[in-house]
Amino acid sequence: MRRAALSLLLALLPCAARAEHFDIKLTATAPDGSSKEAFADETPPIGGLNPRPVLRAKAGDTIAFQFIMTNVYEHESARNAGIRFYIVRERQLGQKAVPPLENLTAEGSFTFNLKPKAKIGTKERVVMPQPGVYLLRVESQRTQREHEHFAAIDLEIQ
Amino acid sequence: MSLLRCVRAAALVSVGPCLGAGDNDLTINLKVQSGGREQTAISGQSAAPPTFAAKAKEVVWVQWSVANGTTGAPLSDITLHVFIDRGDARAAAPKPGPKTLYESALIQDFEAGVKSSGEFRMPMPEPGSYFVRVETIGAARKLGKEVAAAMQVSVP
Repeated sequence: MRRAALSLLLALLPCAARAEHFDIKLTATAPDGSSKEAFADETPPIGGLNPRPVLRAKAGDTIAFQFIMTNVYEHESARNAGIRFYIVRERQLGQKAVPPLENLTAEGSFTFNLKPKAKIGTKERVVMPQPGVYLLRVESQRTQREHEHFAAIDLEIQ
Repeated sequence: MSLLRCVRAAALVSVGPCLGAGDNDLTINLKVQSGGREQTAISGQSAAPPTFAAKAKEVVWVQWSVANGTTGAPLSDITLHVFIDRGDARAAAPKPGPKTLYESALIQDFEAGVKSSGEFRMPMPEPGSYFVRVETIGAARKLGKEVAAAMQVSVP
């Protein structure tokens, strides 16, 4: 009984401490089976609070990524909210600023009325054509809150 | 657990009673573009899915929108399921396979006049026959049937 209560408490603690609006789980997997996960961060500040994990692969590899976002607010809706995701080349691993969104390797977006407890999920397989350092990022937009949420993983393609 | 099942799990526990939405005016508009060419598919307007021809490695831009033209009660907990995979768009009730190129699921309430949209860009990986499908899951509870738009993407 005491053990079960402790497990529940531990499961609830991260949620209570972060008090996020969005729960995000972003996963990227390389062909060799190696995988990295990232969770909800917020901006501002630029680049967020958490260090980004790095997934390493080779040029020509297919990277599979998936994200699931949950609006954890139970009572608030937002009209014409959005979610955007993309893979873009960046200068260096872990750089704080998001690079200009030009020559994107992959991208997508949604525009919809965000309902309480809504879930949005996407998965995609992308061939990484050239060596370099890339940013894989999914972010909320227009949620009518004081900050937006995102999750991101760096891709180092050799 | 599949992406679709994972996203829908939250909605299924909160499904309310059928509200009765009146006429079936939930409309899906699907457009695929590349290299200055484009093709459109609209739900309920064609028996055979149209075909879009693309080249290998060419980036295709897929856009869709879903609009509720009814004036009745909201359509609640509708899942918009979108995917592109290898295969034939004319297959009965096609489902994405384990190596689907793109798949998304979004749960939304459609009040009268509400519109939802999405898009993605991706390079077509290699020659073959692909299809894009945008479909509702859960609309049948209120409308008596699901709504879908599909398009064949041919990469010679």
